[in-house]
Amino acid sequence: MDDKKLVKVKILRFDPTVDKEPYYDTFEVETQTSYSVYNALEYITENLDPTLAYYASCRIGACMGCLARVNGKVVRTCTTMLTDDIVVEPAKADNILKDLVMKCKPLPEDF
Amino acid sequence: MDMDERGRSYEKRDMIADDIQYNVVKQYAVIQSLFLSRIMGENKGVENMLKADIVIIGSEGAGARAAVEVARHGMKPLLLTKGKIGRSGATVTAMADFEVDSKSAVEVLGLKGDIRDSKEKFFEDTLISGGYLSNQKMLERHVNDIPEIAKEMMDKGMKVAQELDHAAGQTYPRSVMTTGPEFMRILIKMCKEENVAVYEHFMATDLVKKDGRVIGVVGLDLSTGEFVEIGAKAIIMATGGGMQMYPYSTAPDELTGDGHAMAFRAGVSFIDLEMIQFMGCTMMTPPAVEGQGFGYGLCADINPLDCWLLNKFGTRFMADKDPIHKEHVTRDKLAVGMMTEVFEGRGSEHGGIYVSVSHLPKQIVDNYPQSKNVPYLSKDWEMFGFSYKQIMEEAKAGKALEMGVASHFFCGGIKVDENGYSGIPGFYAAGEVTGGTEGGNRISGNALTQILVQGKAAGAAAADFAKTAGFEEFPKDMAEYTERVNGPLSREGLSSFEIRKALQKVCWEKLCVVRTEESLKYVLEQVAEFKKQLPLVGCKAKNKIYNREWVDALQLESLITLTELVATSALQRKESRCVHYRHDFPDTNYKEFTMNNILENKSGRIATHFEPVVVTSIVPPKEA
Repeated sequence: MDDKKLVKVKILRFDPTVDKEPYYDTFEVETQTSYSVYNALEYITENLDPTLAYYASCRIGACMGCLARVNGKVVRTCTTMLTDDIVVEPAKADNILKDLVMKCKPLPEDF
Repeated sequence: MDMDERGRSYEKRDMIADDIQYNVVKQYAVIQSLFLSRIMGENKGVENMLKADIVIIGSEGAGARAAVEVARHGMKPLLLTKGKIGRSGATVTAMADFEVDSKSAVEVLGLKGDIRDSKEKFFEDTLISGGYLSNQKMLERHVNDIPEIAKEMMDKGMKVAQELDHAAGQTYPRSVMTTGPEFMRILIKMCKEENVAVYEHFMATDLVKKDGRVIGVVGLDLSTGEFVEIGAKAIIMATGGGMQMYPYSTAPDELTGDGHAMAFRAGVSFIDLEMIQFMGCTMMTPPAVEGQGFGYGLCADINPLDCWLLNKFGTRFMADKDPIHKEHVTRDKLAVGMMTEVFEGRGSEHGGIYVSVSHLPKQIVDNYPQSKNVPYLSKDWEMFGFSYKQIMEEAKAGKALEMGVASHFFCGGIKVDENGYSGIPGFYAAGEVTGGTEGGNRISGNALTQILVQGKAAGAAAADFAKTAGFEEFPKDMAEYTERVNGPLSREGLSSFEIRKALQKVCWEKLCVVRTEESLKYVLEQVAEFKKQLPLVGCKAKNKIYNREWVDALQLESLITLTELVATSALQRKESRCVHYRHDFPDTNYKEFTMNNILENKSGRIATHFEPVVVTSIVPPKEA
């Protein structure tokens, strides 16, 4: 993928202090060669919706902090490239602190 | 652990999942209920306050090792972390080796090394590499304490390579090779054995003092959005470096100098804070790999490919600067060489330099990742889960890679003694947030040695202090502290994201590797402007739970404070030494500046002076 391209990033949102049920928000993000899902989450928070919550730390693939479910599979968002429309959900759906941030629990078994 | 296994162990983190968040949930519930009873009731007394004997701010290498030591001395530790234990901080990102003198590595650790080495020689190499600025009492502990500390971790199952690596600047092989995650796996296991409590998603914002003594810490619980007070007999600051001053960094996102800022406000002094190590040949683009050390491995680290570093005129500038070593110089020289090209107007499009491999036959490039000597790379150009295959295909075809420098390590920091004591009763510090061990430069692998040695030392000293100290009641009026935390959320106003990026740009352009009096004064002028903007920063996002914009605003204040401290420090050192390069004073002035550069807080203003270095055995030379 050489050119810049607009893709849709659909993200599960849930603030337990406000929302009764989780819901999805969709953001349009311009991606390019070697642009990660983590890059997109940072872009969305800083430019489109500052209420989006996600956890990330090292962004070089080492810390495993940024795990999320992308298109149904638990991955590191920093090493997963954004090449097309995607759905991003928390790594484990029953343990949400807010949006993609999890309360403290072990990793999902399927990772 | 063999080298292949080492390279791939980053992919195996699931094995440590159970260890990581071992008792966080339980502890968290306790803390929450304590916290609720605190805010529900009227009583602010010591009895009802949330407290621990020793509160440690920062949960990774230095902090975790300190917590273990506190517990072993019969005191109750509480680890605070803005992130998650084992999933934040610089330690897990270490590539990673720690240094032990080769003789001890053979005799104490049972590894393959060179018994001609000694602790004294390790001491001397580190001292020389750091431009003779190290506190030699701290350095003695550094070389003396590490063998036993490492042995314990290996006895507890830490996997290491049987053969030592030989890092640049070390006379003998001293690098015990492991990985950052493996290193943390063992420290977390040790914390678990000592029943150390961890409070995650807690951002400390201030230390609280009474009668000159630190009596606790306050901050923001990111999980609830509430202001929380925690009493302590002593605290240990272990928040790491402040690498996020710069837009390009090898370090994690949360290393924003909160510990430096809290410490400054609490009246602590700093030492040689201008000494910030940059890694050369880091990626500037594309976005997913910004700041990554792939290029450093490719061009400069152990067993590099013979890449050419070119400026925008195609000149192989390192060959001009150092005809013998060319690109293969130490980290400080590489960074200075690259950024001098940029500073003098010969840089690349994005403010770095170009790297070419197109002079090499294609099969040499293709065969490079197949080599056993480059364990970080997969055979298909993958590193830590990132594929560089397309980038290297383009490079082979003749497209230059664009590389720059990235902030990597703070050699200077909070001034402490060899016990981690800051001079303020109840305030200790350990790890990268401190200065004094490394002096003006850090040899590869000395970071992990430093954090273990200092963590253990500070843990023991703080616990000893706590044996005769009590808990103190916090002041009735906490408005100063609550305003710092709640201010940004309560306001509408300027975007912290935008101001942070503006600040990072100033630091990148004027406070990076190459510095001048003019550039540093410009930084301080800009800091004055950023300070005026700070009270006007407000959050668009008003949610209390895990509000990143709010956290960013709090971090912005830390970054502004840190930038002022670093620029002030850099202005004082009118010479070039180690990682501090002054374009207007390019030589090392052994006669006048083999001294420690000290910053103090005088009624909120920064006061500066130079102090003689602490010498035990090697007197620094008065000339080159």
